[in-house]
Amino acid sequence: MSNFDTKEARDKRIKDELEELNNKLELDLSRDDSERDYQDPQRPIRTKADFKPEALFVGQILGADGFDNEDALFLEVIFKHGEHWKLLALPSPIQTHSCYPDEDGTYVFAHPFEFYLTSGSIHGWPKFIIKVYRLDDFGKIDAIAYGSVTLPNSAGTFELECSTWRPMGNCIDESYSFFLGGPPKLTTLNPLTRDLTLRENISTVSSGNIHIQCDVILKSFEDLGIKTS
Amino acid sequence: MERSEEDLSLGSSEEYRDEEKSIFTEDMNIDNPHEYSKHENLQTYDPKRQPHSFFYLGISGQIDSGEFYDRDGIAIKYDIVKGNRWKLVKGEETGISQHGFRNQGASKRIVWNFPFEVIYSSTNVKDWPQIVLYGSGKDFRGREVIEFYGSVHVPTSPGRHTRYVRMFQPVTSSIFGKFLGWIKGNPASYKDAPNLIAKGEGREVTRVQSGGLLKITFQITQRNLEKYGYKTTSNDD
Repeated sequence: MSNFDTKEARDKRIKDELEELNNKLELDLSRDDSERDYQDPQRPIRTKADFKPEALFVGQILGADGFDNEDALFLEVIFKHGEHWKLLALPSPIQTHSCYPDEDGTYVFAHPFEFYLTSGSIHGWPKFIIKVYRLDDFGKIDAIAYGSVTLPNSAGTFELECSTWRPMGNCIDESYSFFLGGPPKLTTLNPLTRDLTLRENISTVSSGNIHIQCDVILKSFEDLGIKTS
Repeated sequence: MERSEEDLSLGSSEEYRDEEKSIFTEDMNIDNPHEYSKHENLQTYDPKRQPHSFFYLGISGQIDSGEFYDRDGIAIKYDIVKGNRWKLVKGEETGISQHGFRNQGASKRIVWNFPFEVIYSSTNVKDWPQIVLYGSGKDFRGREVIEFYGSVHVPTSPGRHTRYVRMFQPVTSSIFGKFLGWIKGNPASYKDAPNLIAKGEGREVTRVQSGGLLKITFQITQRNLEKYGYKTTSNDD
């Protein structure tokens, strides 16, 4: 090629270079995600954050029955989850009102709850730890039963039943509790779920049932291949 | 009498006239964010813009019947409580039913058959809606007095559901207070209802007894919850 290009040659060269650049640009564009979405506009654009699993537990502590008691009862419910779970909305501690039993011995608590968590592991699925308290006519409060229940892990509506128990003492403690109230209690809640080996040393007496209704919504568990139903 | 052609049509001709604005138009009606023309399929392609849309929850159903031990002549009032992010698209959030009385026989069932239909839109499932229910009756002087309280969460899975709600009534702590309340037509009641019933905080110091059982049927329709990634039902159809 001579040093002195004719005008046409120069134009042609510029045009060729421009075309080359254009082709390169088109190739880059087609590698973009938007091209794929143009072909399928129904598919939403999801970012990495959309794939973090979340779970919503919504429901009510319905009531209790099976407690042979004529005094008022109320519950304290502790929501426990594993270390890789994180609460997204601040929940309120659950303590129900005190309810007097009706003729069948059923108690109505109707205490709504809602927990919205994000999860990093399937270990440590959320549980309820329930402490049942008795309120007698003199205004005395006594813990009379303990129980724990795991919340459901598949989406849908569930009715859970939590059975409860209380520790049993010796002859003297039992007759004391029968006549005056004040049954033996646990000093810590560890034997319930945290440290199950402590249960080897205690004897317990069965108590009533707590009824809970729980609705569950799961997000992105299936996308990660986790099957729960 | 001569019949004109208009008499043979199904309804008024105005209802079946084609809309002048086609749903395939490019102009977006920004005033109404829920209008169908904003459907994701029909929007023009714009890679910089997220196809943001709400998800919709349609709640319909009726408050069927209930049993309230020996009480009679109860009217049910409902209130839907939800978080701030949930926007009401259509329907009424509160309603009061008629006063229902039992049938003369031995059955204690009171029937209202009171329907409701509400549509909500939101972007997050937090603060799922709840229905708070009040049962009120007329006292000996004809004043309306709220006696029973109860609440139920709207079911999260689509389809038909029946829920039995146990109502409770607050108990006055002293006999004198009870008598005074009966005379004045103002028995123990909750001050900050519906939030007190729906949230549960602040109820620890109250005492209640069982009030009765209420049957509610729900029919839930959902739209776009799957697109957000939420799985609400285990039935894989």
